[in-house]
Amino acid sequence: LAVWIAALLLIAGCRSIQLVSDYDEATDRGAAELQRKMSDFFSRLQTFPRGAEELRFDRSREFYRQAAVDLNALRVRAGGIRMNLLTLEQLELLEENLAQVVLTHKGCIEGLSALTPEQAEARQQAIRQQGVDLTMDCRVSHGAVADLPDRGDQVISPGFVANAWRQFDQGLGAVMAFELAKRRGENARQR
Amino acid sequence: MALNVNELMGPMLEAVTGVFGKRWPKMRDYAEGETRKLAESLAQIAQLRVSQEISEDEARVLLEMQKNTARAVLLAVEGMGLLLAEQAINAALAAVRGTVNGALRFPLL
Repeated sequence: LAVWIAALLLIAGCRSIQLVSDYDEATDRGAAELQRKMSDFFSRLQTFPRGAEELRFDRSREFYRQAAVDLNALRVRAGGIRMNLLTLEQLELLEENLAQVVLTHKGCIEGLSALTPEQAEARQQAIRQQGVDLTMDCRVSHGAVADLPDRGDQVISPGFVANAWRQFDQGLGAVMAFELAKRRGENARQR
Repeated sequence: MALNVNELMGPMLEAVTGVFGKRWPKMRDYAEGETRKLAESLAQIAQLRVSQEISEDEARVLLEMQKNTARAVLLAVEGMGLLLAEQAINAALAAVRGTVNGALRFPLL
């Protein structure tokens, strides 16, 4: 403990230390706004019966495009703030989840269970590297199980929607909870 | 004037304990609440599969998404832990600021 105290005094040399970025209101608001849009989108999908025309991918593509733009904007902003790597990583994980929803909606995951662990890992890598694939096609290079054209008529299942909605709520909630904790940390620093 | 480590230790420990006592319960409550949500989500995936509302492939995708969601939550917890450590260190330094600066005759802290 004595060593710890001495080291602390030596390295401090200033009034306080900071280990995490300051609170960012734009990130907090952006995450809250995206969470609201996601809830609106998923709740609307849940009002339609299984197989309905409204559940087709081409009907939802514009929403996915906007959500991908919003997430990318949040990620770019988070990347420009010092000591903000944890938030940046959170947003990257949410982007991966959006890419998974889009692939599922296009019916690009059929046969996933038959992939070897190596193939499954390669698929995850493709999603990480390529992000959300907003084309109408399934592309292995973007995380699809097979290359398939013209997937606009594919429909999403209400069961899948129910759990995906829950996951975005929790993931975006984690971004907001961390921002609020940063605000409390910032207030403590100023005292 | 030389600084006595034992004299510094008391106020520093008290400050650190104070921060942990105040902040730790909030962090623990968040972690517990989010763990419950993750468990509920996992149970929902299983139930959706058993009732054949989703395919096996969809269940696998949801599980992959669940892992990412769990990581996002744990990153928030990690960040809260760092904030807790930061506040504890700063409180410890503030607790002995007067003593240290007085002994050194210049404002080190």
